[in-house]
Amino acid sequence: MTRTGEIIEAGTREFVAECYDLYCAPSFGGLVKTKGEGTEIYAVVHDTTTASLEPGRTTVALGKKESDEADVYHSHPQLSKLLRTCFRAVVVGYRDGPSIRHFLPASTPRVHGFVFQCDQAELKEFGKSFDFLSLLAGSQMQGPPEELIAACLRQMSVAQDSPGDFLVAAGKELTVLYNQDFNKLNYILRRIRL
Amino acid sequence: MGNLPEGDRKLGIVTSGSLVTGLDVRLDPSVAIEEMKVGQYVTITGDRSHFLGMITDIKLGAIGPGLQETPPDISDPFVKKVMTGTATYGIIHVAPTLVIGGEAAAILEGPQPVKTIPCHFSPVFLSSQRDIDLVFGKEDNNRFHVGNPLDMETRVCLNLAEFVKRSNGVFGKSGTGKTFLTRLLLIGMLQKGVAANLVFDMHDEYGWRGTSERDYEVKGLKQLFPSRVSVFTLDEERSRRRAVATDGVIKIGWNEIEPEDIELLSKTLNLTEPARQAVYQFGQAFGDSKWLKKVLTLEKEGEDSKELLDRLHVAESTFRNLRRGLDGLKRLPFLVPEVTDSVTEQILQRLERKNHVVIEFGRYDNLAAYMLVANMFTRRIYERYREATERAAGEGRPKPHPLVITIEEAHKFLDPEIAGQTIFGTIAREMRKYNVTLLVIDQRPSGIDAEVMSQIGTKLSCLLDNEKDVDAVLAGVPGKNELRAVLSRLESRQQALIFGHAVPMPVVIKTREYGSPESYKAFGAVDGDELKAKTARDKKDLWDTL
Repeated sequence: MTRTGEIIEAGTREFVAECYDLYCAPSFGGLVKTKGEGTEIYAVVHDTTTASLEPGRTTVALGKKESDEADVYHSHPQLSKLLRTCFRAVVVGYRDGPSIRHFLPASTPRVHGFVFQCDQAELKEFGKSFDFLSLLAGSQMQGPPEELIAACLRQMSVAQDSPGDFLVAAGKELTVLYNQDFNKLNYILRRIRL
Repeated sequence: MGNLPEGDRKLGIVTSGSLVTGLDVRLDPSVAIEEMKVGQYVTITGDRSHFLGMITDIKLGAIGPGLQETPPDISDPFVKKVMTGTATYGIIHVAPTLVIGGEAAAILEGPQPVKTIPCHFSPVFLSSQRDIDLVFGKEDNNRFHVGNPLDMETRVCLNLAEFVKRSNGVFGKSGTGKTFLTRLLLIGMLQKGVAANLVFDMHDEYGWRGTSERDYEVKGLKQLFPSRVSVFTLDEERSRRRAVATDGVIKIGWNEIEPEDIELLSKTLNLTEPARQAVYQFGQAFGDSKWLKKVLTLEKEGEDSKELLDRLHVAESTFRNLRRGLDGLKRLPFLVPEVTDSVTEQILQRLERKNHVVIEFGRYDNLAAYMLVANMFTRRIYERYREATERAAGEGRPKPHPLVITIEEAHKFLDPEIAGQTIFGTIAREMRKYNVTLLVIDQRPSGIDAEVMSQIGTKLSCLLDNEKDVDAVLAGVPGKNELRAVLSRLESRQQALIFGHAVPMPVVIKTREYGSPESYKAFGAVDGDELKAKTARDKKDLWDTL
């Protein structure tokens, strides 16, 4: 289990975490978890940004004389201290004793709570139910939430015994979820077929 | 259904419906809609009772309206898999007909008519052999195996003892297997001994041999049960040529034809209304047994004739019309001026001995001959049965053995205009009072009087596609609209929808096989030495009972 960052802003539906290392955010649609009050809260990563530490001070272009991108950071070692990578994660469930619940927990994650990337076994376990898809569909992210759903399912499918069957089952769940908007459904299906 | 295991296969769940209009069942994604067929049976497991119903319609459903407007790309197997059973699904419409378990009455007294419906989301299964057996019973002394439900091995048995209590009908378009089905029913009644049969066999299909729909010869009743079936013929020469073992040749004397016999023929003989009246006037003047001779021998011209016509108040043109019609009858070779030994009596005696009689028409299969003979015999036989029944009631004895009279082209006899007056109309309406019932065979049921149709107990219908005919057959049946879909989608051969008095619920059957040596054996027919021995036994039994 890889520790990837720390929560800097927490809410019931989502939290913002800062990564310990620049550019080391979990992948878009990846499943992460953090500790809540006596429980583990699961969330799906979206909206990863790397920007200046101070909101008022934006960075400027530095690499005009450099031949390689990596040399920019090499020549300006302060960059790794002035920049930071953050990500948002939408809460999709929590652990309740031995089982995972795919809905919002009673307690919110805590600021400075550690955020861990889930391993394959947890991904597989979490993928046993698709109830979390409606939380993703309703997330307030930048850009269409359908992209997030597709990315999340693609990653989760890899951990399953039969990725194909998993995606078909997910597709059926989405069909019910998007029964009033088949364009969005098709949008997702095109992104998750193997 | 080929690869489907029989029974206990879940098809889906009840999603909506009503007792009157039937239930909608949403199919499970694993059930291919193309496996479903109208006429198949399903069992619905409600909370308290088990229901048996028939599929009467099959529909396609979609989860939202957008799908029709922007159909998904189902050439992609993934999309197809996702959509099937969720965004798109099959719906079967089921008409619930019986409660087969759960309720106390249904357990103790067998299947009960349905008075309620299963609750929402009750699971629906393909009916198992056991369920169908429970409804249609096993073959026994009264029940006769007529066929199998669609795609099932189990047997559908008709309770023939109940069947013969009312008049019944076999309907269907030409070439759909009416004769085949009738032959089966006749054999059933013969085998179970529930009734004697009098068959007016217009096209010589039942007595000695018939042809199957695939043009091979099949044995008739006489070949299968020689000691219990008598064949009488109107056309001796044809019967001899066909090597038919007949029991008698029918000759009808002019003296046997009564004015009422002509009434039925008035349309066929093109008689005008005054000519019909004139028949009765002649009957009154010369008596029922002599009037025809008088009319046929009356000089067309001449003083005597004129005087007679004047006396009877019959116009000359009316007489000419009557004479023209009756001359047509006169040309029928089986009509002779005088007979001494009445065939009617012979036929009656055989029927009373519980024998079965088939009357073959040979070359005289035109309507006039058929109607004349059928009407004449039936009227006399009916009279005899009525007397016998009334006498039996008076003396406290059992009623005479039931008799079933089989007529073809029934709409000619039961036309709304004449059904009120003919003996067939009377039999159909009075039904079982006198233990005489009809088995009508017809391809235009819409031509039969509605009152008569409403009295028909059990209807066996092969494919019908004329709107009026379908309406006529289904008039007054609960779930008429549902059955209409089933009836008009029957296969054109070997399939029939049975509903009415003798079956607990409507059933589509694939008719039982007929024509192979095994099938004859199954009917209880015997041949060779066994046949000789059996004939001897039957003869002995017959004389012992007299």
